[in-house]
Amino acid sequence: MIFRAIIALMLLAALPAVAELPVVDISPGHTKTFLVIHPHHDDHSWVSGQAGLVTKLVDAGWTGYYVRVSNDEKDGPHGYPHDDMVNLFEAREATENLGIKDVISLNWRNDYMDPTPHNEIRAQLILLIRKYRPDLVTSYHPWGHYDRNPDHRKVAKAIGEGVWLAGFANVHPEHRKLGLKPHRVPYKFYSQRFDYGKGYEPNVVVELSESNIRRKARSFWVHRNVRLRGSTGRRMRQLLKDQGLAIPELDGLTDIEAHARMQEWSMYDAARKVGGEHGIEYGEIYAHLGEWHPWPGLRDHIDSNAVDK
Amino acid sequence: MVSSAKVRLVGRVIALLNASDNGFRLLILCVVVCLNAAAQPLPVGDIPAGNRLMIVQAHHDDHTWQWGFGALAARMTDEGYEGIFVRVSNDEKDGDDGDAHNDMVNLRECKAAVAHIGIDTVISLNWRNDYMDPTPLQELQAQLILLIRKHRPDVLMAYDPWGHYDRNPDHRKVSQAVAEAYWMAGYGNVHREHLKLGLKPWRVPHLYYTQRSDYGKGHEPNVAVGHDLSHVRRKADGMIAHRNIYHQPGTARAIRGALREQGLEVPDLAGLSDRDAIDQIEKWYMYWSSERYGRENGLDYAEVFYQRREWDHIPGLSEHIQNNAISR
Amino acid sequence: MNTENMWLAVRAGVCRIVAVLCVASFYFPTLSGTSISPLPEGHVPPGKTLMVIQPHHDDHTWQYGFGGLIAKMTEAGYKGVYVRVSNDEKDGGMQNGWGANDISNYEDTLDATKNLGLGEVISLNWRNDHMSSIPHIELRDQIILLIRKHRPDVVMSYHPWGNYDRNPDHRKVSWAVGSAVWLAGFANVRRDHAKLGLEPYQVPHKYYSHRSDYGRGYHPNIFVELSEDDVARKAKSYRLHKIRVSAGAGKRTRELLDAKGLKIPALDGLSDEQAHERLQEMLMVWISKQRGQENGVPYAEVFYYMDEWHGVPGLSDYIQANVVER
Repeated sequence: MIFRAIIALMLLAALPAVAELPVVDISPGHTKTFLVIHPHHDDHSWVSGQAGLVTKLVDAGWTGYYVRVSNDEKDGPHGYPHDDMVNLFEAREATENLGIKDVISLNWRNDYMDPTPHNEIRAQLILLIRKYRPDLVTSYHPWGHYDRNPDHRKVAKAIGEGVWLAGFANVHPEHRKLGLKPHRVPYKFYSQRFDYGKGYEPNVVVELSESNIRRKARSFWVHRNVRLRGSTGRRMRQLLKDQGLAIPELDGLTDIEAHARMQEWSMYDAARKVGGEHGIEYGEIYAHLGEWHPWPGLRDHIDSNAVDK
Repeated sequence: MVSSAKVRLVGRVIALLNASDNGFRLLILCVVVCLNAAAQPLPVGDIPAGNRLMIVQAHHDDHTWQWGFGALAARMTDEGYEGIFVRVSNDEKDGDDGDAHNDMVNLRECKAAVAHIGIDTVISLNWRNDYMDPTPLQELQAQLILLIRKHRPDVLMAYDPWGHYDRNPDHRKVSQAVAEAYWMAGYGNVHREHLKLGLKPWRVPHLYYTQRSDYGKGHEPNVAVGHDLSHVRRKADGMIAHRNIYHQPGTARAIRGALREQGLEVPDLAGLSDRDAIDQIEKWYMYWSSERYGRENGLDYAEVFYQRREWDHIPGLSEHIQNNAISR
Repeated sequence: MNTENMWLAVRAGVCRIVAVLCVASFYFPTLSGTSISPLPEGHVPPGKTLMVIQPHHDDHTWQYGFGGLIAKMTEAGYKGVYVRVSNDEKDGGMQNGWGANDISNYEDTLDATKNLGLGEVISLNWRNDHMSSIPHIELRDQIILLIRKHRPDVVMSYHPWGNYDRNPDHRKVSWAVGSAVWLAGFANVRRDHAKLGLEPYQVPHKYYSHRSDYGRGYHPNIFVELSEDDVARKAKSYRLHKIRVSAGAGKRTRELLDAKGLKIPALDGLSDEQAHERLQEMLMVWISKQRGQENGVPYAEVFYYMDEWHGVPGLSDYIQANVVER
């Protein structure tokens, strides 16, 4: 019996190497605010985040805002200014579906952000953080390996710094003259496209319901300008045909419908897979930095030493 | 916290053990041993042969924090190394007294702080703190190449360029410049004009990188370096010598306030003023990290680093020498 | 012995053997190699053109790729282009100046890539080891133009997140490649190219590599088996870059060993230049053999591979789960 207990203990100790992530609780937040900050109109809802988390926060009473950093001019077939405008309208509709209150667009040039002065984007984000004083910010991970999209890398870097520097009075002290005090964001949830290799390591999973996923999938679709295009469906079918293959459930569907069917499947599949790995039905994973994170070791110290008053 | 799924799994294993014969039990034992073996300690590193070490970091206090380099530097200077600390920024944002005053006070305290770990030279490049994005990387790299060729350090310490300490832009900029400079300083074709100043190319043989390792991936340490209690003490003293920023009662007040909101308190801090509480917390971090890395690596106290040695510039050479070199 | 007892005896025996191997791999980690399980095998994808985009003259072939894979692909009928992004002015001796280094490294590249079966070398000639001031967009757009012009089925480059921190050119170029291979497929990006008759083009197969003794940054997801001939061609292509085989480097290695009271017997009797050449060859074969061992074949290279479905998240999984043959 002792031998078996020892085996059990050793197994328990070893299990972190292959383990589930802790499921994070979302506390009620009728006075709380969150910001979702991304370069593009549709980044709030994709397989790797953030829409599921957003719907959970909204259901718990939080107030949310979406910050679109670029102008999305390259995303769509109608020409730059028209695509900017249409994508912004659809961003408003899609985020409203998730319960987000407003969309703020910084309109930096889409897929041309390298010359954008980093410090200027960062300064804008610091201003927004000090204005809205969010308790939570969610975005793409600054080190996430989504290498191909230059806007993601640029914006994530600016956010990584902005959420921290917004807490320092010495950074942009002129904000005080606008009545904006320093504000350190206590909770950050970062994600990345997780089929793109390493770069970040998630440390929490957010449990989602079917209602959360349904709203997430719908918000993806509301971006008709870019998500309901036949070209992806057509290309997929052609590439498969070239290899003598086909997908029966797409037979009889238009190219747009085929693309839609694939994307919806993908949204549920990703959430189900993540959920399955962590002992729940549907999930989204994040690298979560909590309120004690700015002080190395403080979390451990509190866990080891704090007692109830 | 142990999840219910883990508990169910362990329960199933116990049931399996109960039902199994001895062969199967032996198999389960070995699988479990192997799983535990996955968390092996790092190799323990020795102090390399040499005379001079150089620490290049963005800020006045980066020579000594939980994740390095204080204890390593203290140990090296005890063993005869001479030390130089290069502060790349002007630290103007770090403190309450205005940009210029913060710069001056932080530099003065830096000199006092590094003296605790045996370093007697501080060089400040004074690039603008928390505003380094427009700083030309090429220019910073050139300054560091010059310093490396002038001082010819045997050991260089810096933050890992790929360390995921994303929030602090200065760290990322400076570590990129250091990584490039450490390598390029060895090439005669890079900044050939240095020869006219009598500065020859110099390849630094030993490099130690660290990062804040509660910040996710990015850096994987490959060596643990042990030290003793006196080194930890000097590391802690080096940290709290930065009174301008660490001796801040406001920080202790914020922590205590946040704990109170959650109905918690830390008994160690009960009865202490906010000033004394913050000193206690800062010291605790230093001891905590050295003890933790010591424990993980079979030592009393340790720091962990990503180390590159004198053979590591050619892929495979280190291993080839290990397998094939013999004594003369 | 009846069937049930035989099964119990076999099971007990297997358990004991596995138990011994588990314990052995704990004490002898080299038994399990540097990775715990082999990678899936990658095969030469269908296609005609490959493009290798790297900053330096000799980056097409080094211990960690791509020489072996290139040799395999050209053997299978691929035509290839090598894009050298920098001017390699810093790579060489100081006696003849930067311009001379540029020219001699370029000429060596022509020989070395020809040995692997590549037909063309394009040099963008950005300043070697001075690339951080180069506008990223300009470099990226040059690569988009080349991709739309040559329409490669395969692109190979250094991984944008590979932790090979010391070489600034690698980081700069791989960022540009990472973005360009994707943006080249969008009509809205550089619409002016259409006036040159260059249509948008999405590269179907990407192979990324990095120097993997440099810590994290990327994890390979496939191995490609190499033949002895592939490895020999790879090693020869490396040596055709005369700067990689220098008496100075051989001398320095021997001096460092000497200072520690060591020597490598295989280099006895060789000149410094021959010693360096022998060492480089041994290292080239060594790494291919090690990667092979880890993956159950004699020689291999490993890569982070992105296939034609990678552009759309979840599409690969969807196809795998639902596809049938017609």
